[in-house]
Amino acid sequence: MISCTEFILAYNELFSFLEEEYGRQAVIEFWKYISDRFLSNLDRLVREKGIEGMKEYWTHTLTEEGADYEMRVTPSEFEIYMKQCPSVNTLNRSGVRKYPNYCDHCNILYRIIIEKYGFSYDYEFLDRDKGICRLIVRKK
Amino acid sequence: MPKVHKDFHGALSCAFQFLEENYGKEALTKFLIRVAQNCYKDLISNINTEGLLALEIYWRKIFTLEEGKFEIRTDENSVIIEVKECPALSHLKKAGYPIYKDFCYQTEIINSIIAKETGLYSSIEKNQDKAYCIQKFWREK
Repeated sequence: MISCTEFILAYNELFSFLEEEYGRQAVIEFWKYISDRFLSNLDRLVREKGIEGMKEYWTHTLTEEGADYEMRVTPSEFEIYMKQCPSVNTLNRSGVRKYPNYCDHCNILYRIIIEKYGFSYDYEFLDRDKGICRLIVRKK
Repeated sequence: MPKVHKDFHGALSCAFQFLEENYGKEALTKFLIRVAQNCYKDLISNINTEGLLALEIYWRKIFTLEEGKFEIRTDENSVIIEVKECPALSHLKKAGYPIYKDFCYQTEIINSIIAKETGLYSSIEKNQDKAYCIQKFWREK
């Protein structure tokens, strides 16, 4: 069993493996697949509760992952300011070779779901090496 | 005790499914070998310096953290890990995530590479439906 404590390393390894063996498009296809098959929980929460559902989803996941972040929620906007991404932090501490486009998965995985329900999705990578980024979702 | 994000097991299950559907089981095998060689470097190094004790310490920590039901038996030349309720499979079932049909294949491949890199032997008896397995590492007497 690959433990949850090794998951980020294995996930990162998968991105590198797919790109080296099958090209960049294979990595993007994988992210779309994960969004479709794995994120049904987020899909349901956004469909049923909109911005409140996003708050519920990311509060749960980011708390369990031990992220250092700020969340701002209004009736029409949802924002996460990630001060230290737990995944990037894990990769930096591990000494493994980080997939150069590792952070891009957050821009694709969730965008597909969020935009489907009538929201705009803006992602800003402020410092990929340190794991600092900002997500802003707005009601259209 | 720190909490772990068990949904990660669901993402991995999905990844195994993706690899087999798109590139065949050989691709999954190749990926798992890479994971063992690149992501388990510390464990491999610890086994090479400290022996079988490092394996016992590692798995006791992991299964405790993941809240699995397990028993570890050791002697001078072997470590046997009896997983009575795999925390990954239990969580996937409970959360309703799709489970890749050969989810436990990861353990078989990763253990075999860890054994190969440390001069040990490994075997696994697994029953995925029952979330049960017996993993064994040993060295020749």
